[in-house]
Amino acid sequence: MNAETKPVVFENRSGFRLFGILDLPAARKRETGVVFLNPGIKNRVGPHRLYVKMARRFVGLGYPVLRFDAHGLGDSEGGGDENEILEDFFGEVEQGKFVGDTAAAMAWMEREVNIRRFVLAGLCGGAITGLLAGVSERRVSGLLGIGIPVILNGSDIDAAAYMPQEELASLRQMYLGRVTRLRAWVRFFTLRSSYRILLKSLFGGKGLGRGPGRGGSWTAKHRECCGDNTNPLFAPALHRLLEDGKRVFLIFGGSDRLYFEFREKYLRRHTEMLKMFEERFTLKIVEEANHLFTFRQWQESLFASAASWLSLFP
Amino acid sequence: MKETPFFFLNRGRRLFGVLHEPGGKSRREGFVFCSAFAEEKLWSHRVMVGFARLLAQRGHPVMRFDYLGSGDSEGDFEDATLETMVSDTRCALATFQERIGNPGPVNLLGLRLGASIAVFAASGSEAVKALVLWEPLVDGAGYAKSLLRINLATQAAVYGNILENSDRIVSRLNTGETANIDGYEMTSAMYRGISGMGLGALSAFGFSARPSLIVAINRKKGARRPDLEKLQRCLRGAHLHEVQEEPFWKEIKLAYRGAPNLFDLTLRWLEHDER
Repeated sequence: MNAETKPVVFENRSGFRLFGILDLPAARKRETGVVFLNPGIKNRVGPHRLYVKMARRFVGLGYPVLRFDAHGLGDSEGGGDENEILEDFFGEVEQGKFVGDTAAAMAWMEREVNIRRFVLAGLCGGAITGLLAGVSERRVSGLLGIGIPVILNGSDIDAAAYMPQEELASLRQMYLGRVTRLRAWVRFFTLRSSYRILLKSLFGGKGLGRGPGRGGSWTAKHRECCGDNTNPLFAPALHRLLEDGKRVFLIFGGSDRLYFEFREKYLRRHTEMLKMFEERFTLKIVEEANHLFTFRQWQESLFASAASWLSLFP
Repeated sequence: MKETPFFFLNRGRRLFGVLHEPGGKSRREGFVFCSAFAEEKLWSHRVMVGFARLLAQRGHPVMRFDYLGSGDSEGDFEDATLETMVSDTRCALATFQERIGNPGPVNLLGLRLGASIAVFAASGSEAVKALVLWEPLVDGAGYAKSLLRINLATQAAVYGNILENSDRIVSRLNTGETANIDGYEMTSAMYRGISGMGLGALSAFGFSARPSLIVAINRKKGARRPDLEKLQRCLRGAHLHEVQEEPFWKEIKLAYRGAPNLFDLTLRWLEHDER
């Protein structure tokens, strides 16, 4: 008997109709449902259909899986038709823009499919939405976060001022490797190079960035919290999730700059804290993989480790 | 307006579609949308949804759908070829006519590779009344090379240099392996299909005269588009217009939810019946 795949529509609290795809296993073996959350502005299939591929694996393990579009994304209603600076949109997501829609999705699953426990899953923006939504939700048992952002984006936040050392080192290596290339010099002299980043990577120093901007997503609270562009919501949310007994699996590509950010702006600052939750917190790095797990071998590694972790849930 | 997601069958495979139906009784001519290819489809998704809704508000029923192996449809990306995409489009046309209960002619609207697919699907089809081609791909060989360059760019970003050049990727394709493009596994059949898609092929398919709108989407106003001018000459009855918009089918600095200049131009063409 085959699994069942069907389109579903439900409303969020504002009355916007949200569109999704529900995959039900042929035989219901598991009590936990998986909900995939939009990666940035992309729709419920994910980049290169990553979510579709993962959903097929998970449903094969017996888990019901919902992939849906939050309001203003994919096929769903809402969001208006005004174009927006991408960095600002990311900043809104990183502060919980889609937490309410995630709760609506779980409520719908509970009502229609009789699922009461959930793993929230997502790449990038989907991962941070899952983290923030999981904190306030008793129904959430776990978080599967792929390439989760630890920083706060926004057009008024100068990310270049707070680049992690590893990223700067990687850029330095790249720039030095191009010194003998004519094309690189053509770019340099035709004003197409990123001069600030180039200078910062070669000579370091914090003074080369513009620093925090004024107003917008950057508030005094952020400065007090971290002194850089770290999302002040990140660490408290993760610790709360773990304290509440929920499992967290974070997976990064080894060459993803978001991993460099995570190491420098979270892991090094909270090593002791994490030791308390070794049983519930799992971190996996897929060597060489980029943020989107583009190449097939990286995807296979991601799928295998995610499936293995998911099997912990009934 | 009513929006209904559903699955329909083509050659035994389930394809995903969304039907946008206008409220009220008066119905104007319908549209089936042909989406762009691979990751371009994702970046442009919201613009296509936005235009479908705009048309439906103006009384036009619209159907959007996902090709085999893309979006929410069944299959893997490797299963798709240009032929399956054309077949899926023709099946979507028939499904649309059946669902809205009107066997009358339908307009096809396509973006990028989807626009080229619309030309192929319209060929010899009585079901297609007019074509709206947003930034159609005319130089298939050039597009195929640009797809391979995406693979090279990924290698360069991750490994610091290019371990496998385009020639080697094409050699591997010829032995039945796939080439990874932004995470999608492109087969030799798809690569050959796209590479061989040129003006000759497009004009041969589009030879039966029908009203067509070709839209050149330029970042800067006034950029000449000899490729699309040639296409216009090949497609009898075609109008070529230019609009200024960002290339919303790729990653840009904006979350592109609407393309007002593109929408206005297309609606003007439809409503003032320049056709």
